[in-house]
Amino acid sequence: MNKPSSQINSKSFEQTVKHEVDMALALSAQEFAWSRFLQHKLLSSPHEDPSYSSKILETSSCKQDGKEGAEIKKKLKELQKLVPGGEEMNMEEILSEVGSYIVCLELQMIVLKSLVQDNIS
Amino acid sequence: MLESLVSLESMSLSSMDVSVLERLKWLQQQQQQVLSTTNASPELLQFHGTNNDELLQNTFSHFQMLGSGFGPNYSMGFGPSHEAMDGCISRTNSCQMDQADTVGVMLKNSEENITISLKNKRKSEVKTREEEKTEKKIKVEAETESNMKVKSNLSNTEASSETSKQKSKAASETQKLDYIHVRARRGQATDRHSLAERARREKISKKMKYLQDLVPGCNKVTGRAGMLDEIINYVQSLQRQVEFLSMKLAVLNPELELAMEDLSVKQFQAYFTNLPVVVASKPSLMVDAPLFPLDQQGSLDLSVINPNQATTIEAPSASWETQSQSLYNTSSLGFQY
Repeated sequence: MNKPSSQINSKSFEQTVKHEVDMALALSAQEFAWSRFLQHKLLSSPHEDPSYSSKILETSSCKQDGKEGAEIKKKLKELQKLVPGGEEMNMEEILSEVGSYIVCLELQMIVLKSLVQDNIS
Repeated sequence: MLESLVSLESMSLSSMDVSVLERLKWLQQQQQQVLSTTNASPELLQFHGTNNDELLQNTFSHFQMLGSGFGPNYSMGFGPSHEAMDGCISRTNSCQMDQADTVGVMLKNSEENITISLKNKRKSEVKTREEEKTEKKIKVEAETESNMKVKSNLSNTEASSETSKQKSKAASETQKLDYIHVRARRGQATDRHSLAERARREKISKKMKYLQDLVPGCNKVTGRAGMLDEIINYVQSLQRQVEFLSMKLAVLNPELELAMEDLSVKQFQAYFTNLPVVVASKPSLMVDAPLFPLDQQGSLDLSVINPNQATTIEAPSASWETQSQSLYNTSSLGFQY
């Protein structure tokens, strides 16, 4: 039996799993702009890292500025980076998309947790 | 009228139950009220007929029977012979088609109470399947009627979502915009731009409020910046958790033989979507997806895949998640070499 070496494949396997998980997230709520954007992105470039980690690094190094208007705008920009497709949205749209995105993320987490539980037991 | 009712009861006892009789009596009372006010009961009956062809035969026939004291239909046969009633109904249908509009108006104005109270009355009784059907239809009627009422009320304001805003603000002046009706507070500018601006801000604050309910811990923070902070943190933490869980899932399934160099993602997905087909037919379909090395395995027990759902979670994407889960389930069964 020829098992392919696991070291080479683990990373790409992880990527594939992540990809499929993201796809499930996108498919779970197709009425929203972020979902369509995510689907497009996943279908067009399958093996790119969805790059949660890079986004996290960026936001952690962000500092807070003086005026509130500018502050809010900065935070909105961060939010834009978090939500898929947020770059093309203005403030109102982002706020409406974020709600559904949060709910779907929570749902995804529940599903993944139970999947993991399944595999442990 | 009472005599006719008594005769109805005696004839119908054999086929109907007590609740229906009660309804009969109640309906008759209603009919009397209606008749005294509008004098339109035959048309009412026929309107019901035109409205719903599959209206419950029993109740419609009751209508007919009740009103038939005034009309020539009285001599028609009662009882469980629905065909006779159908004949009645179709006849009335055919001759009242053109009057449907006027009757419709009359119905809305004066008979809404009846339909709505009919609906309520029916809810309290034991339902047969046919009765449920009727109830739904009459409910739809009542709902559409109430919608139209509401719409007529709001025709001035043109935006029903803004009525709550009206209530909450003290009004000194109002001004109509194209789509949004916003009330200005005392001393505030009322030109078009600032009102539009205010409407926009109202929308945004409404959305922020919704997000506040969604994100845990947002209630303590005040101000938009703080709330946005919380939201950002929450989304980030959710994403991180998802990433962690998916990595854990990947780690927990190293037994999955994946020839990742050859596998394209589309194939992967296609495998999942084909899974039920695969279960039904021969495993030859599996040859394309190199996920299960069939040449190394004697007989892959495909029948195990679907029934072996250990958990019953409600997956967000209907078939996809359960299939992927079943995939992982089979992998945990182990491969026999």
